[in-house]
Amino acid sequence: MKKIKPLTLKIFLIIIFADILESAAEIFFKKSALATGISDITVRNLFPFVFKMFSSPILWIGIFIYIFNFLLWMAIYSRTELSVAFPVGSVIYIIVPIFSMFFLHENVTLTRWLGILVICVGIYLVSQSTSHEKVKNEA
Amino acid sequence: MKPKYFLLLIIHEIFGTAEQVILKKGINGLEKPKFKSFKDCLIFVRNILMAPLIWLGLLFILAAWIFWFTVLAGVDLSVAMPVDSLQYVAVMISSYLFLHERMNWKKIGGVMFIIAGVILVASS
Repeated sequence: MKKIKPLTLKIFLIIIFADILESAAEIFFKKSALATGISDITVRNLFPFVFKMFSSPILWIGIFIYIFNFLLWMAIYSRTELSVAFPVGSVIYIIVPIFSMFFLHENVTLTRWLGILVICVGIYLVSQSTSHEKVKNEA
Repeated sequence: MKPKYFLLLIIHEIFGTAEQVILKKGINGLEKPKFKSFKDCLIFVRNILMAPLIWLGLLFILAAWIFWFTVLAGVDLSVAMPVDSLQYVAVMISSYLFLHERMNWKKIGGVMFIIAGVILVASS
């Protein structure tokens, strides 16, 4: 049976860094959506909205971070198992609401936090099932 | 979360999921990457940029992004992001249907948890 590569502190921190980067990208996306001044999408304002979004420099900062993050994930995959990387990657679902509170002044309720926690458990289960299958296949 | 935005999010997820399946099909068609060094990663990136299926996938990414942005226009990020995890569910079902990946109880259990969490977040 193939031995699963352990998660070193270094890799762990790199994944958390990748999570923070992606969360930052999402904040930039949301900020540029707010900057369009359009707070409700209708059929009539859809095209002006998309045009405004893509002409916003803030959005392009977000897209640039996203692409960099993609390359970073490539490097992470080369050093660890997907089944280990994925649950740590799901920390993004906790970082994004924290960032939303600080940078977007959103009100994150207790129900929302509870839901997020349940989602993380689900992602953990899903990622563990993949590792099980993989180990079995390679045995 | 208004039904309209839920619908837009679902369209985003459909494009996002199709994108994942197309990318996976495209990548499956390439020679298996080694990922032993950063150079391997760069070779892999070069290989994927030469595959037509990957470019189709990139078009789907663009469409998925546009719908994601419309969701962000009307929904808090701290709601939209967790609800977006429904994509795990959609990707799993499509992997089963289109890529013939196996289903097991852990996956199904995980999916149940994700759906329960999404319902909590979306109703908050």
